[in-house]
Formats: sequence, structure tokens, C-alpha cells
Amino acid sequence: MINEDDDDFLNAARRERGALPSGEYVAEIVPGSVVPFTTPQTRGCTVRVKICAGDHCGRVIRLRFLEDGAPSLDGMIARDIEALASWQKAVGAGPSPRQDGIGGVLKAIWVVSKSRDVFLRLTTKTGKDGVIETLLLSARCDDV
Amino acid sequence: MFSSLPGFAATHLVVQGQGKLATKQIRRGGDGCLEKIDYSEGAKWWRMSPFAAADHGAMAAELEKLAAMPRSLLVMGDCVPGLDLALEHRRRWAASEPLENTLLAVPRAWLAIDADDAPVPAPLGDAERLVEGAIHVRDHQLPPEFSNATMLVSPTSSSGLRGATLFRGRLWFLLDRLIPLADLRAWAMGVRTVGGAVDPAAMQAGQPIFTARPQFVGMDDPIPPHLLATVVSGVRDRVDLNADRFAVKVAEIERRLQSVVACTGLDWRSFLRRTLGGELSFHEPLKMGLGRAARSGERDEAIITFTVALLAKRADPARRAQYNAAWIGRTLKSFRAKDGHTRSRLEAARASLFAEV
Repeated sequence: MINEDDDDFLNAARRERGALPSGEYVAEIVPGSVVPFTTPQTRGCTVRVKICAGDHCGRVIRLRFLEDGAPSLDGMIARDIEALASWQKAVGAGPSPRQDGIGGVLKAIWVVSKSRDVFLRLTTKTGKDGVIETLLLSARCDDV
Repeated sequence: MFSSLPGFAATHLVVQGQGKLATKQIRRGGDGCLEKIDYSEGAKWWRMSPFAAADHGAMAAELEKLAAMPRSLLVMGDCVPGLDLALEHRRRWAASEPLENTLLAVPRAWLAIDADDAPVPAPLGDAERLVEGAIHVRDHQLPPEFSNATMLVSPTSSSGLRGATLFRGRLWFLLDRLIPLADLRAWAMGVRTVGGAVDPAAMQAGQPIFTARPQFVGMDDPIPPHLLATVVSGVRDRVDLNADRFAVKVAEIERRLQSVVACTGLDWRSFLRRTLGGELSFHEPLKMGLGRAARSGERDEAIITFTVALLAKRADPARRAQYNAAWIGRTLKSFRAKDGHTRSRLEAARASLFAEV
């Protein structure tokens, strides 16, 4: 059973088999999974989330959030930051210090999400190179 | 065999609010130039109701009525289930929070092709030649399954205003099966990518299909009343659309354009020199090249002069008329406006995410 979508990330066949259907999932951040990254064009963080209920319970999905990059990527960065802002608002986490970046935001979300059902609306996007990536669209939490 | 298929099923929207219109205004300025004003600013609230016309003839009758209803328009989507049609609603179909949507993308067995500046032999771009122009577009510029198919022709706001060699109008077809709107839009984008003058915008759940004639100020409507909706009978009433026809070609064009992007980076001139015309056609290279040019900080005049000169060497006269200086200027303006909107979104999202020190 595939339970790690971030392993062997360039293996298209495996991803085709393992792509998570678009939908809303109860999910939680895997502790310690926030990893900053930098490329020549971008800066951001990845985080793993674990599906906690439903048909895909137990699966761990990697989400990637862009924080900064070339002006041509502004649309993608805005999409990622808006999704993260939706998650932050849904769980009632306060704004984080800017110097901590979105890694700090994700940690704050994790702290206030413990023992609560947080619903993440996820979708799957296939890039031009065939890479399948799971994207966060928005979040909600009924007990806020 | 098609009796169980729906005809032109859509949603009818009527704008609410005093003085609001769902059509454009076109006026001739003192210098003779035409000025086009989009439908009322702040037209946000709409009454919605299901719309249906069984066949081309019934649709023609409806379009003739709608042509004189300046507060009305059609959209291809359906009202979301449970929407209270007695109330006014926003026209939403792609909200990040799905519960806010009022319109839903559903499969449809029809499509309305907005032929934007399709090159036609003179004088088929003239207003009174609307139907002949549409027949030329159908039989020479659309895929073969459209050839000699029954269609309904109606004018758009710019019909007859783009000169004798450019056709603007709407071609309505029934399809032989229900096809999801996303697939119809992907098909239309494919047609445009390979050089066809088809606007994919209408093939979305809530995108307006303007059905009322514009309000002409200081000039007469160039379209005679008998051309508001014309059924052109063909050898078959429904089109067997090959929705995947362009998928491979589009993917190949995108792959080749991306490989040129990798070589040329931000050098938009080099990008256009290497891509414009030939197998890559014109629309996608222009879109990508002008997108880069818009961000280059160079003045519009310089970008337009370079692009027009390149088109003069590589494009036929009709294509040059389609992608003229005004089109290039509008495209640059639209890219800059979109970039400005994206930057505003980004700043607002960052402001909500981070605490100010």
C-alpha cells in the first residue's frame, strides 16, 4: 500500500496509482515534518499531513507551499499563501512573526489543531512533466 | 435517436438594481473612433432561472426576444441545487469556498462558439453578411465535424464593426451527447492554440453570454433586425464533437514553447523571433511573448512596433488584421492589470498570515 506520496517523487507511474482523489479530508500535520526548501527560483516549505478518517485514512500526503519567488510565480505564491491563510483562520491560529516564514505559520497551525477535526479541501494537479502534486485549496474546522 | 437529449439548456440571469444593464454600450466619439463600455459597473446581483430551448428554431425565437432585453444574459451553468430562485444572488461559480457558488458546471449538449476576429474573405466581415461569414467560419475554420452542420447564427457586440475581413459573431450548435463544460472549454482552448478564432471564455458555468444587443449611442446598430437569430440548416442537426482532437497537438505546442522559454528566459524578443508563426501558430507564442514583454518594463510603443514588424514578415494579411497594434496594446494592458491584481492578492494574503512587527 502506498502511504507516502513524497517518496520517489519523480516516479510518475507510482503517483498515478497513488494520487489522492480531490475532496475534503480530516487531516493533521505530521509532527516535525515542516521542511524549508530553496531553489534558484523559489523559497518555501513542505509539510506532511496525515489523513485521519475515511477511505484514505492513514495516508500521508506532502503539501508544498511557495513563500517567495520570481515575479512570474506571483500567481502560484498567492494561491499557496491564500490556502495557508484559510487553514490558519479555520483553526483560529494567530498571525506568526514574519521572520519565521510559513514554517512558523505551519507550526502555529499544528499547535492549535491538536485533538480537533480539521477538514482540508485537497485537489490534485498534474504538471506538464507528468508530476502529480496535491494542493491545499482551503480548510475548515467546525469547532471554531 | 437524439430525442432524449436536451436542447439549449442554460441559466437565464437578469441583473438587479436600478439602471443596471447586462449589455455593452458602444458610442462613436468625435474622432470617429468607437468606444465600448462594458456592462454596468457593480452589476452584482442577479435573478436566476432555468432556461431551455428544444432545438435551433426554438432557440432562435428566444434569442430574438433576448436581443431586446438589456438586463438579461445567459450562462452555460446550472443553478446549484437548493438555490432559492426567489432571491437575488451573486454570479459565482469558482469561489474558493464551494458553498458560496451559485452556479454549477454541468454537462451540456450544446455550445456557443464566439468567433473572435476570424479572418474571412471580404466582404464577409460586414454586418449584412453575418450569416455568410458564419458559414465560412463553420466550414473553413472549425473542425470537420462542424462542416455543413445545422447552426444558429447570432451577432455579438462587435459584429460588423471590425472591417470587411474580420468576422465577429456567435455560432450555436447542438451536440450529439452531453459533454462536461470543462471538456468543452479545453476543446475551445485547443482550437485557439492551433490558430482558430474561438473564445473559450463562454464555456464556463457563470461566464456571461451576452444576448442583448448593445446600446448604441450616437450611431445605429449595424446589424439589421432580421439577422438577430438565423437558423442555417445543414445535413445533420447535432455535432459529433471530437473533444480530444487537439489534446496531443496542444501538449506538443506547449512542450515546444516551454523549451524555448528555457533557452530565452526573459528575452521576449528572442522568444517571439523563435516561436511566432509556423507550426506553433500565432496565438500561444504571442500570449507568452507579450506576457514576458509586459513584465520587461519596456514601453508599449516599443513592444508594439517590434511585434507588428515581426507579424508583417510572418503572417498573412487577415492574421495581421486580427493581431493588430490595438490588439497587442489591449493584451499588454490586460497582462499588467492581471499582474497588478495578483500582487494585491498576494499582499493581502501575506498581511493576514504574518504579524506586523
